Amino acid sequence: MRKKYKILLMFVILIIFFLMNVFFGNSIILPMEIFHSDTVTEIFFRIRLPRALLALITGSVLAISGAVFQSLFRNPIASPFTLGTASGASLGATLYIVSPISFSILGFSLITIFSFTGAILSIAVIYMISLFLRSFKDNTMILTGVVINFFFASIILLLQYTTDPENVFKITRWTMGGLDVIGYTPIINTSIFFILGSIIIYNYRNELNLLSIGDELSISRGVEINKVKKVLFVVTSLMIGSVVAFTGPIGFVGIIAPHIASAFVGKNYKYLLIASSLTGSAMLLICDFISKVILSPAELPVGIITAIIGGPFFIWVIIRENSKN
Amino acid sequence: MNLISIENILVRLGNKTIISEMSFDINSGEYFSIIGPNGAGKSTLLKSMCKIIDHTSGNIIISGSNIRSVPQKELAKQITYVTQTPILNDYSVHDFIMFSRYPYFSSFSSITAEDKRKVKESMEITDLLAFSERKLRTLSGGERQRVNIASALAQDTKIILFDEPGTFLDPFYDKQISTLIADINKNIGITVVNVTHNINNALLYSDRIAALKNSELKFLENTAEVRTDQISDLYDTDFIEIMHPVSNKRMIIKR
Repeated sequence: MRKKYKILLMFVILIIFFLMNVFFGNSIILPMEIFHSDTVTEIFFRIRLPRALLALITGSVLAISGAVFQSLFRNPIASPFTLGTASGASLGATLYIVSPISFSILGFSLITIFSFTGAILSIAVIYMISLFLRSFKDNTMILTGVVINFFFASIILLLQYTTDPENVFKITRWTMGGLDVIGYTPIINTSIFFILGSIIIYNYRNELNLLSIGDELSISRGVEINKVKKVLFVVTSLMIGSVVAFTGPIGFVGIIAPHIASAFVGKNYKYLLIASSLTGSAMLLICDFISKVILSPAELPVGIITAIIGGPFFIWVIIRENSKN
Repeated sequence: MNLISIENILVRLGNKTIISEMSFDINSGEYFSIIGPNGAGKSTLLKSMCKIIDHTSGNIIISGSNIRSVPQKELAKQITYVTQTPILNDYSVHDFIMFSRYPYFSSFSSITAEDKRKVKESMEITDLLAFSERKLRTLSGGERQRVNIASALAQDTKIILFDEPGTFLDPFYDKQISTLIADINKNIGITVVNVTHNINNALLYSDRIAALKNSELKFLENTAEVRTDQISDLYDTDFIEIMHPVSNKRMIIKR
């Protein structure tokens, strides 16, 4: 099947998962029932629809970021989580939760700004350590990311240990990852970064192809690698920060989605970015659907579902890559 | 006519001097070989010419422009580099070669008819048309090195730098690649700068040979004027000259 048809098929699957997510949950809301009563209308438009839209945006952001990182680090397990970007954003959000301050700047709540800062800080630390070591070898940066993950996780635990019980609950719940938002503020805030970021990254599709092969080859083909890498790091960090501020860390989507997408459309970033975006969204929508119905009427945080599915997949990716080499 | 001028270039990486104050010119259309023992600075010199490594001081002038002031994308229309390591990944041969058209891509435009023509032509020259949709990972070492060369050809440059292209190849593929490089130089007129350990290949195909040792230029001679004692000094090993019994060409081999 041609790649364009495969992408169309992925888009259809995404629509189906989106509709499943908005119409099915603790209770089923059929399309003709949406306007039957104010309560149903309220549930549909204030809870179900924003949640599904947030899943769509978040899944896409994590998958696109994963695809970008897998190219930049030439490592199949690079993702916002293995590199510490998401844990940087999480630390930022945790600092916000435990701090007494609360206000917004230009319509963005402080938690978003804290998350941004954390995400960019973590990628800056990795970048500076690699500069210091004069090594941009994939493994150096991945290992630095793993260390940063542990370091930030320890600070989050320290903050949790020293703060009051109400904040402990908030942090615990938040670090499990969830999509339960009310209203459209998170959607507006995240979609700005999602749309702009996606357009910028897609414009770098040719550079991503070359960078995924090697730095020397990229330079000899005309890529200004330092400039391109900086732009891509900053853009992906901002995108990740914007979603993690609302959802908490949702693991494994960023690793898994690009691999599923490449199995369908191949490695060329012209198609891979679009396919990863659709796969990430579809994955998070279906995981969120499972989290809503598996223990109904109770709900599981979606991060638990993605981790349960993602863990074994992660190992499969490592085994597959080893067997290739 | 000088296509490349190396003027007093010095390359330092950290505290180590890799290239020490070196000057020479390379002519347009020339087959120029660089030989020398391991660690002499040959690959660094090659990488400096296409800005993979920044030189510390001195000038590298290509087509009259100092490469420091030429944007990378513009430089990539003049000069490209073929690594010694055959590329190993999951891209198709066609896609990989098309990526080399990068200097001619703009962000919003799609692939042009000229891009497609150039990729097809490069695959024809390197006899790769039948491999178009094969993944690079499934090819043999020699086939992958041909893909590397096709990818450099698709970039449509005046100069191709080869960094020991036969290193990992068996004698069959080594000969195939050597002949291909010579053809590219002779028939298409591309200036070839070839770093090699194969002295006899250098003698067979080159117009001139430069020898590097301990970060310095030891000699630069027309190929016919390279002497056995110069090679012996270069490698600290005794070499002798013989005539090939079949081709009747001059060869320099270890005693």
